[in-house]
Formats: sequence, structure tokens, C-alpha cells
Amino acid sequence: MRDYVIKRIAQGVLLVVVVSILVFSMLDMMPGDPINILTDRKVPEEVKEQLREEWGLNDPLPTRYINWVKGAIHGDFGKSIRTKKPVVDMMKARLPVTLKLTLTSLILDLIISVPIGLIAAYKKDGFFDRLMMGLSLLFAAIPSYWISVILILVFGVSLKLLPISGFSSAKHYILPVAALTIGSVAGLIRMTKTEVLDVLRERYVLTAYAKGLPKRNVLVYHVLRNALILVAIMFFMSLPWVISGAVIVENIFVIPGMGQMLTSGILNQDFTIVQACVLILAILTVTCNLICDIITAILDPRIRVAMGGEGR
Amino acid sequence: MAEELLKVENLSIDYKIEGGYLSAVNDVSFSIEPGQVMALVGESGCGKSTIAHTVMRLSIDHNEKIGGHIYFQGRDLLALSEPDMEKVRGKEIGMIFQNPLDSLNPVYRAGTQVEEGLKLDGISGEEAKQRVLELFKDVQIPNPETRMESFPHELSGGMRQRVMIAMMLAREPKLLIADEPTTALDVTVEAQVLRIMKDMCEKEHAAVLLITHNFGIVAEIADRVGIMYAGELVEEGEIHEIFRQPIHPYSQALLSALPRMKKSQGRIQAIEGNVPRITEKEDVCRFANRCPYAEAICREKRPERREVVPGHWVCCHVK
Amino acid sequence: MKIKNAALRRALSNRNFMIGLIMVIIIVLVAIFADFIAPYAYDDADLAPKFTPPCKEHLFGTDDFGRDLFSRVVYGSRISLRVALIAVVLEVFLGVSIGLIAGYYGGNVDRVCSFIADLTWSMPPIIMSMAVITVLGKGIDKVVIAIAIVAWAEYARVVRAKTQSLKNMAFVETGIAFNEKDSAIMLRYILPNIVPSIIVLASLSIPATIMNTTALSFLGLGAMPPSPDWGLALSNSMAFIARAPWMAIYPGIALVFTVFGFNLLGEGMRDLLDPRTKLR
Repeated sequence: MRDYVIKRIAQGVLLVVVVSILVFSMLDMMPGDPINILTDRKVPEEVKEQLREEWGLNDPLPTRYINWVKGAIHGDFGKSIRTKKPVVDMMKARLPVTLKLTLTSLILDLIISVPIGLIAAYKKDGFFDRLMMGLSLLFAAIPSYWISVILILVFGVSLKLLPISGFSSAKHYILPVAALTIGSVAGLIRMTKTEVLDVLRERYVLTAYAKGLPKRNVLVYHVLRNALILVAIMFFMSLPWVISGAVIVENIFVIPGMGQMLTSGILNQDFTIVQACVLILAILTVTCNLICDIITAILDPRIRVAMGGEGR
Repeated sequence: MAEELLKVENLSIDYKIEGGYLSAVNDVSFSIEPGQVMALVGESGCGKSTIAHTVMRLSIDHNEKIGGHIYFQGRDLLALSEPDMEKVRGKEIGMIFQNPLDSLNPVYRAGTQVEEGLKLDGISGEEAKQRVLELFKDVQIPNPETRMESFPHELSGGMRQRVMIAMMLAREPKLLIADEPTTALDVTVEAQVLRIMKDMCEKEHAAVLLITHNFGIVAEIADRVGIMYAGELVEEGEIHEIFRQPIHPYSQALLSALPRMKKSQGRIQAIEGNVPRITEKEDVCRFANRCPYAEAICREKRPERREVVPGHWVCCHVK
Repeated sequence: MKIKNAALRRALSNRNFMIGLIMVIIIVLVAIFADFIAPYAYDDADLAPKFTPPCKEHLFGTDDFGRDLFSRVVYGSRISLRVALIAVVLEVFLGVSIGLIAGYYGGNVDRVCSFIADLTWSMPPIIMSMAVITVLGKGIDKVVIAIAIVAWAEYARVVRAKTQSLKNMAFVETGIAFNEKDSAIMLRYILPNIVPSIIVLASLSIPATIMNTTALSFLGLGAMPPSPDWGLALSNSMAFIARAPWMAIYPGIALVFTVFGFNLLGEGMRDLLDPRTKLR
């Protein structure tokens, strides 16, 4: 078991390292002299030379990479090319915003999708089940940005109920969170149903019934407990997805979060920002996947045995 | 004459599948007396496992059509309400399954899972733990105190099955259904587990309905045996009688397919063809197209049950 | 009319498949015959006053350039389908090749391939596509490449698993015994057996690709004006949402219709071809 965890962590670290190398090399991968990409055409040659020195572009790639990593470990991601402000300050301000948006939405997602998935699984092929499956297929086809636009249309414009940009008050939360939640709830309902069905079909549920346990006990002590574990996994698996949905939603509702930072960074070719954001998001995703794998291994001993874990 | 403990009467089970129904069990009747060990033998897919699950009214997908009766101590189990059936399960009838690793909840300790059943009878706390310890000793689990705290994956296959036996006999049921109990176990462990099962049941005066495709273990512990083919019970009788004089062509073929100790007993005969999946019930003998003795009547009329020798029943036109 | 072929009968009775098929056929026909269906060209400006609400001459109204929205939506289907098709072809090619090689040769080759596949999973797809676009530049053609780079691993994983299990089967071992070339074994023995799974994956990929490409266009990283791409049209509509709500409604409906149709078709195909992966 310990071996498995160590192996997975090592894999994760290696993954992050390679991603960081690729991300950092983005600038060099582009055709042309890096300095020309980073500055305006109008900038005179001497200034470019100066900037080259200042930004360390005269050093070879590996050196620059190591410097960048050293800086990153100390929390310094360099300065934004456009605004000359330290990237990490921007991130400190924006990350909490994105997290607030994402986590609220994810929790709402789980509150909605878990009960629905449970009931759909338990009354499989019934009216409720088929209705929910049909609806979720439909909702899965609706992109989050269109939901946002329609929500804005209905609530922001026609009914003039809610504000449609900014993030300063509680009211500002409602539409973005709604858009993000609606966009991801469909997938989660299907996932819950599948996981619960898996548990329901497990042999140990039959055993529980065979012992004479009443349905209620079986559901609570055997099905639910194992299903909740799966809910925890679902949470961590969905987190990266919801964050990427947040990127779009932030742009629409003009919310000052990481997503908006990333998008404007790309549009402005502000590499330091893009590199920092992408790296953080990669670390987050890899970590979430790792947590999922480890939870699964801890709680489902059959996987541990398959991995050659605890001896008998 | 002892009153029958379990009496299955004209049991038919059809599964709803895409495009119709699949006849899994067709008009099966047999009975078990208290303390008796009855085995149902047949190839995979012959319906024996289905019967076992139906006696307990345990089904994974609720899409069967059931006809006939299953009387347990005089009551028709198929007519019981779900709460009444819950009272029967575990307390009156227990069931152990094929793959003990899957059948035990991986997140609970072995002892806890056995205690769970005892709680239903009002036994809990220290008294329950003592009882579990006794049970573990009875099924010959070494170091029972430690093993009570073990998780299923920490136990070997044979030990898990012993835990299952303990779990299902904890509430002292009158009938234990064993669905392929040793199929997933090593041959060396198999004999041990079977013996433990038989001894425990004798001790508790419990009858056993043993489901298996392995004639070898039938010989070990059964009193009576019923042979099933394609959902029908084709022959039934007392164990020595069947072994000595199998009448139905399928039974003969099954017995001759057993590996022999002596060369003089002949080569292993493989049975030609495959078990059919019956989607349309016809009035024929279902074994006809694989039977070396088949005659015209076999394809026109379903054979009736005849008692050839007292206690020995066969469904065949020819023999 | 008795339909004898059992497979055909199953296909026709599968509701998902049939409805999906009809929807997809509608979209495909619209795309192919766009020139005939659309009353105007998609970049014909000032046909009518800007922001005309839907009326007889302009079924969906006009946009901020006075262009007919109906024609733009119709031509938008071409872009979505073309992009999805090219991306999926690229993904399948890459994914199947790498999956076959990884599954067949195993060992270190497999480890390297799997690692590279894991790399594409290290970030949510949209983020990764955005990173790729940063390097390649904006534009709908770059978007196609970005999406393909992100999505091939899904195919590779499935193909690899199936190759591994097929490799041990007797008919492959016969091929090896006869000293056939590795590539021949892979192509002639293994590949035909995994085609159904590939078809299912591909048909489910198309709607996801359409969603992702329009999302990137929405963010301004994909199609460029005056392209009638639906994502771009929706992004455009936001500034005028109060004056001309139809600009936001119709491209969205078209998008949802298309993606939903392909979703149903894909689910139906999965029922028919590879039910073991079904989500139940």
C-alpha cells in the first residue's frame, strides 16, 4: 500500500516537472525571436537589447528554466510583461475568487446530483430514471457559455433581477454559480448513478440481504457508506473540470479570477502570466487525480490486493 | 415420514430480455427434508443458481416472471410480503455464495459482519462477540480473536468462505443454500470447507441445498441429488442410487465425463453440443438434439416425470 | 415489411440511435446544402437595418452588421462539422497508432507512450488547448490541432487495453508463429477487432469537439470574424444582448441541437456496438 502511494506520488511529480518544462518552453517553441514576441514592433533595438538582458533571454533555456523554478519555489513567478507587476500578487488576489466560485458551484452540484443519481439508480429504468437520463443528455449538450448568456438575458436584462458583472456582493454570485452548476450537474448525475449501480450490484449487498437485514439497513450500512466514498472521489475528479468551466464563466461575467487572468494573458501574449497559471492548474489537476487514486486504493482493498499490497 | 422442510412445486422462472422472455427454469419440483443435504447439479446456465436465488427471493435485476410455489415449512415463500420474507432470510434460510471476496463488504471487519446478523436477533455487545468467537472456532478459523478484527482482503479464500458459513449459520437457520461454495477455492481447501460445512449443518440440524456443477463434491456430502438441464430437472434420486444407476442420458454423460481413477473405466466422454437458451417454450424434450438415444417422440412431446425405483425419478421417454 | 437482418432491426428499434441519426442527418444536409438553404451570404452586410428583429425576410433577424442571422447560423454548421471531422480524424489516427504500438510492444515502449498520454490528462482539456494555442497562435485551424493534441489519448487508452488482451489470443499467436511482420499483425488481426470501439469513441467525440471548438472561438481564440462560427457569434451577441436578444438565442439553439443529436447518435451506437462500456 505504501509502495503504491509512493509510486503514484513519484509519477505525479514527474508529470508536473515535465509539464512545467513544456510550459516554460512555450515561448521558445514559437517561431521567431522571443524578444520580438514579447515586445511591440515599435520598440527600438537598444531597448530590446536591454530588455533581453533584464529578462535573462540571453541565457540558454535550461538555465532560464532552473531560474524560473527556483523563483517559483520561493513564490516568485516573475512579472507580467504588460503591467510589469509581479505575477504572484495578481494570483494571490485572483485565486480566492476563482476558488469561491468553483467550490460553491461544486458543492451545489453534489447536493443536487447525488440524491438524484441515488434515486435513479435505485429505481432503475423507472420513469424518474429515464426522465433524468434524458434531461442530463440534453443538458450535457448545452455549453456553459450559452447557459450564461441565456441566464443574463432572462434575469439580467428582461427581468432585471440580478447583476451581470462584477463580483462584489452576494447577489453577484447567483448567476455565475448557477451557470457553472447547471453546466456540470448533468455529468455528475450520470456518474453518481453509475457508481451507485455498481455498489448495488455488488455481491456483498446480496449477502447483506441474505443475512436477513431489512432493506433500510442494507441501504444505509452497505450501499450508502460505500457510495459516499465514491462521492468523495467524484468531488476531486470534478474539481479540475469545474475550474475550466470557471475560466469561461469568469470571462462572461467579468469576474476578476484566475480564469480571466489566463484568458487575457493569452490574448495579450503575456507569457509569464500564462506560464504561471497553466502550471498552477496542472499541479492542481495532477494532485486531484492523485488524491482520487489514493482514496480508491485505501478504501477498496481489492485494488490494493491487485496492486500487490498487504500480505495475507 | 418427516414433513418436508422445503417443497418446490412446478417452479418456472422466465427472464425478460430484449425481444421476449428467456426460460431459465421450467416446471421444476423437488423437496428437501429437515437435516438432509440435497444437491442440484448441472452445467452453467441450467438454472440451478436461479432457483437458489429465487428461494431467497434475491434478484439483482427485477425482471423475472415466476410461476409455481416454493413452500417452506408449509408457507409459500413466493406469496410472502417483503417484510415477512425479510424475517425468513437469515433466520430460517441462509445462503452462501460463490466468490467470498466479492460477497463480503470490504470496508467492514469480519467479526462485525457476522455480528450484524446476530443484532437482528437481539444479541449484541459482549454476548455477540462471544458467540462470534464460538462460531469462528466451530468453522476452524485459527486465531479467532485476531481474525475477528481482520478485513476480508486480509483473509485467504478458504477462510473467507468459513466466515461466510459462520455468518449464515449464526442465526441457526433450518436450511442453508450453498451456491457453488467451493468453485472459487483451491482444490486443497475445497475438501476442508466442504467438511466444515457438512459438520456445522449436522450440528445445527440444518438442511443443505447445494448448488454445483462439480459431481465430485456432490459425492462428498450429499444425500440426494437432482440433475438439471436447460432449466428442467431431468433426474432426481438418492446419491448412491444415482451414481450406481444413472438413467437419464444426460446424467450418464455427466458421470462418464468425470475423470476416472482407473483406465478400465473408459475414456472421458465429452458431450456434444451446447446448452440451449430457450426463448420459446415448446412441448419437446430439451435434451433431444444432444441425446444419442433420441427418438421421434422426444421432439414432439415433453417427457413426464416417472418414478423408476422408489425415490428415483426421471424425465425421459426412452429410458 | 419484415426486416430480416437482426442487426438492422436492433438499430432501427434503438430510440437513441434513430432520433440521433435523424438530427445528425438534418444538420449534415443543412451544412452540405447551405448555399441553397441560406437566402443570403453570411458576410453580406447592410442587407437590412442592423438589429432587425425576426421577420419574414430575415427568419432570425439581423446582427450588428446588418447581416442575416439565419444565413449565418446555417453556414455556421459547415464550420462546426468540418472542424469536428478533421479533429476526430487526426485524433483517431494518432490515438489508434500510439495505442496499438503501446499495447503490442509493451514494456518500456508502453511506459513512454502511457506517460505521454498522461501528460495530455494533466490539465483540463480547455486549459491545455489554450496553452497549445498560445504557442501556435489563434485561428480555427490551430484550434483543430490543439483539440486533436488534447484528445488522442482517450483513443490510445482504449486501443492499448484491447490490443493487450487481443494479443494473447490464439489467432494472433498463430500469426506470430508464422513470422508475420508486426505491422501486418497489428493491422490485419488486431485492428479489425477494435474498430467497433473506435467508432463508438469517435461518434461520442464529435459532440465534445464541437463544444470545445465553439468554446475556444467564444473566448476569441478560434474562429476570426467574419466567420459565422456559432461560438464566435454568441460571443459577439453579448454586447448587444439587450437590443437584439435573438443574436444570442438562435446560434445557441443550433449548437445545442447539433451536439444533442450527436450525443444521442453516439449513445445509440454504443448500445449497438459496444454495450460493455455502457454507462447504464
